[in-house]
Amino acid sequence: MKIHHVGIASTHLDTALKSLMLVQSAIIEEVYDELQGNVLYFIRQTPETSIIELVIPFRSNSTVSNFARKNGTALHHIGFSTPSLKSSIDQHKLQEGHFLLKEYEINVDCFGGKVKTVFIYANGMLIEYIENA
Amino acid sequence: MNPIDNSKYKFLLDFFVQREGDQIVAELADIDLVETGIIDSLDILDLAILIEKNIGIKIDLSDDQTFSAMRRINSIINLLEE
Repeated sequence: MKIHHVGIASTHLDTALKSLMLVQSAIIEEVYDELQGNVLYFIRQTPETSIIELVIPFRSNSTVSNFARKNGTALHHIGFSTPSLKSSIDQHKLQEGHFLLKEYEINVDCFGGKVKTVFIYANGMLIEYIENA
Repeated sequence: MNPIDNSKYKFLLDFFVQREGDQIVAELADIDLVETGIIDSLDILDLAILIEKNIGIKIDLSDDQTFSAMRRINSIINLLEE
């Protein structure tokens, strides 16, 4: 299973960049996610490296605002590539402590355009699967 | 009787007392747990794990209404009683 990206949440972009010792010019794409109330900033330092997704809330009821307030800049989820969302969901759904969350379609150029994703919570770890990315 | 007083759900009370202290007991029935910053969306997921471990009910968190119901203790208990 290939790691596609790591999702790191923070209260502010500047805080996240400073924590990770990155500069603003490292951002290759920015996506406004109205549904979840976050701005997603994508960073890839070389074509060989995994993508870092900075998840920054823009409203107080965003999906990560309390998490970021409590934890500062912290690992929020790990994204894995999968050939099939359905088979990835099937692997998890009967496991104790594993919960299927939401499925999304999101358009991110550095993910290859419009992709389907699903979030799964597995005993304390938030996992995102990205189909055919 | 306050539903949280039901011994079947004592583990929920324990979860919040452990995090917030005894003073949470008095206000628990009336508050939005997310809005007050007591829990975040990942804590909701941990609560779901706790519920599954304690009473064997797997909550469907992919359903928006169910996920929203996890913000209040009384609606959590209503879900478990359905």
